[in-house]
Amino acid sequence: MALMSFSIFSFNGSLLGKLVTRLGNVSDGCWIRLCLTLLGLLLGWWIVRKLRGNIRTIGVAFMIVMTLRVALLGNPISWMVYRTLLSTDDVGWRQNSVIAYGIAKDAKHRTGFRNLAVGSSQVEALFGRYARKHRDMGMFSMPGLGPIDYLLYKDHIAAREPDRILLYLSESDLARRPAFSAAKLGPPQRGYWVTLFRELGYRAFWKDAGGILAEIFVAEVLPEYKYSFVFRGLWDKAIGARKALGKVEVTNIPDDKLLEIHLKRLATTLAEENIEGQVAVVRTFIRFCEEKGISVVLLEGEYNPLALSEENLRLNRITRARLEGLADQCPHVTFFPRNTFARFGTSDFRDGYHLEKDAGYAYVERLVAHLDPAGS
Amino acid sequence: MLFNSLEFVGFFILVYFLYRLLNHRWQNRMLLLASYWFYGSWNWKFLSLIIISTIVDFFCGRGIHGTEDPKRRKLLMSLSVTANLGMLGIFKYFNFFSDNFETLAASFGWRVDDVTLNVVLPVGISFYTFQTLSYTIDIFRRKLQPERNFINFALFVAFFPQLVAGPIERASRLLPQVRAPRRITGEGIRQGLWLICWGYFLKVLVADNLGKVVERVFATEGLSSGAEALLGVYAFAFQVFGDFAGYSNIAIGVASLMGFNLTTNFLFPYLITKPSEFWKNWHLSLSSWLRDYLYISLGGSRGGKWRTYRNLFLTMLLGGLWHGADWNSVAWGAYCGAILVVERVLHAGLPRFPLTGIAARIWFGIRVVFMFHVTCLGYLIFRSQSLGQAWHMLGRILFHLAAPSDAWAYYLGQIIFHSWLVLMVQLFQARSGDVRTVGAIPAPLRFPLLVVVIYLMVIWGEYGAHEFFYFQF
Repeated sequence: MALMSFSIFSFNGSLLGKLVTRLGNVSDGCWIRLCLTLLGLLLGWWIVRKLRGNIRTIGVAFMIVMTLRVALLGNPISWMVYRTLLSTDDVGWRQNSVIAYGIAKDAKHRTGFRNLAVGSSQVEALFGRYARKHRDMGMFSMPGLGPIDYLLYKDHIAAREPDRILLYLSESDLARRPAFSAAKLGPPQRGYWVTLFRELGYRAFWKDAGGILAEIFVAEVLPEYKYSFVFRGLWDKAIGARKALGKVEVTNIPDDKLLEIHLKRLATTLAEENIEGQVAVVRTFIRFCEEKGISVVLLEGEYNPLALSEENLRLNRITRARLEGLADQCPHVTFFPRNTFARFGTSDFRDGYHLEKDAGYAYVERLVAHLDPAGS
Repeated sequence: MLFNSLEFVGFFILVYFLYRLLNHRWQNRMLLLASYWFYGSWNWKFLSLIIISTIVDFFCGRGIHGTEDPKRRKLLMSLSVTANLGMLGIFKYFNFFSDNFETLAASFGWRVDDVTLNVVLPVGISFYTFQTLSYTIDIFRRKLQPERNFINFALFVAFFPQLVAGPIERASRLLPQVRAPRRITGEGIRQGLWLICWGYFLKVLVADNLGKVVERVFATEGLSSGAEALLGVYAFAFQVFGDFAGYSNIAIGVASLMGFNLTTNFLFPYLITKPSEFWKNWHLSLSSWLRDYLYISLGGSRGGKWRTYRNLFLTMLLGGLWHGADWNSVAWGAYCGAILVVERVLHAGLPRFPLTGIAARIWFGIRVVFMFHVTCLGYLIFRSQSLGQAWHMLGRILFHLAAPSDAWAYYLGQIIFHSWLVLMVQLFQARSGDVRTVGAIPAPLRFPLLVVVIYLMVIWGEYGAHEFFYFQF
């Protein structure tokens, strides 16, 4: 079955069977790229054999690195092995989604969606069921995927060729400090980093810019560093680190406990100082979509009403004004505030952030009916 | 500013760039400023201690050399010793002695007001005070001419690669290198780069990863099984070696890039068979300092075997105190002194079996393993949070070694994974007797080894800029 859209949450399977099936999903372009890489390696080794002295030694070292890189990270088979052997509990949510993406980026994927929902696990909870039933709805979601990731994955999102991108955003995304630690896990940006840093040049970011820049630079140059979590995860699994260290299985936390964690997070991690920078990033992404001829729908996101404190309501007023402002400035952007398509209560949420599937499905049905009345 | 921080990388690139542009005179001035900046980035206020130590010893050195009056020479020498040890005493030992005096007084029923200094320990104070002390002592012993140029002397005291955690350099070795123009050779750069690379490997891969195991084991007082406790001590053995030898290697490597040749500080401390060999392989610059300025001053081996035993024991006891103002360090020092005395006693009394071939190798292996455990027992005392914990953990190791645990396989895996390459490289180096360069490694293994070192460092390195262990001394 070809992958219709990318979401880490849609991968749950057994070992060898999945591996073989997934190999069938690898795109032709990826196989051709792999063959060319292998040919390049063979040529490299052949040339190195002809060299003499110190240059040969350096050449051998270089070829060892390149061969290891292709064997460990540069082919779909190894990613499928990692996906099969490692779980979210072994490496973490975002890391596991990066492994899933390591496969998905090489897979045959459908393009030309009418609507593509982009965002975090909230988006998966909201659009997941609908997207699996309707082929014109696609998804690009990863745990914690926030505005900065829109820019990091912008080419990959655009490659799905959607007519419309749906961004589900609220103060829980825009008032949160950007997850720069995850930035190094994104796809290679090459020259785009310069633009990215200019765009992100607000105080909160530059406070620890040196470390972040260095980390991202090293991750760009050395994919082994970027994906070190894979090898660490494999090793930790081999020696039973999780059991030995008594680590909590993040996928096994009961909903009530999760609710407690989320409510605490929503009460402590949102701050007005982050909004300016986050909105700037969203604006840049919107501009990118405009250049690509993709329209954008900004849906004001929601979370469990239990977390709607005075402070969060104040932040909500600020972020809503900013999102409305974006829609006013850009003709290809539409904004829908909360309660436009559904009014959610506490019972509609399974924890602090994520909607129950039925509630999400009903919301998306009404949204799509509104966006595309003829096709609904 | 830590060697394993981004700040230091930027700092050193800038310093090195300027260094290559300037002539010798300006190189020294720039290095002095850079060294003060390096230290000041940690705490500007404590820079004054280095400057005081520099001024006092510069003028004391000249004064001692400039007079033949024994009284005046002794007075100036006392001034230097008092100034240096006084600073060390106030900033490092005052609270320790004050607390213990209070406890002792309380045990007699006397009430003494709590007098504690609310100051942090200035980084590297134990290192640079010993370095400057050796300068005045050498002049006093007429082994050294005083330095005439203040900038040169100040740079000798504050030279940034070895300022905060050694190697403790002698004036007779470092000052001539400060005075004369340095030659930067291809071999020096190659050696420097290898030492820096190997030093970072030891720090970010070996020490900081095994540090997590050590933290865990020593934090769970009374909870760890015997096997876990034993593995925790093994992990500490490699952590402390990786941390300190790593720092020394980076220091020597950085200096080597600038044409300086610093003292080798670590050889093969876990491939030895006798306690006395440990101090010929571990923190050489400190052990030779203790030998030359403490052991010999106490009388050395002159005056019969009992005095020799006493001097050995006292030297190591004070060496232990140098490592930390706490009873664990004192007990560790006493332990080191005691095993050196025991070795001396047994050396004369034990029969010898001349072995050859495979039997000799097996016997050597047994002795190395035994000596490693003797060293580890010392580490257990040294690393424990209290002597009670050390005693408790020793009991677990001796009497509850096989207690069930989930963690022991994980700890063992971590220790093997993070120490195998260290042991392999050490074996090659020990065979060739050359600890400094990768040249000690056979040619076909050299580049693959570098690739493996860098690969492991990139993938498994801990990049949280963890402090070096020896900073607390």
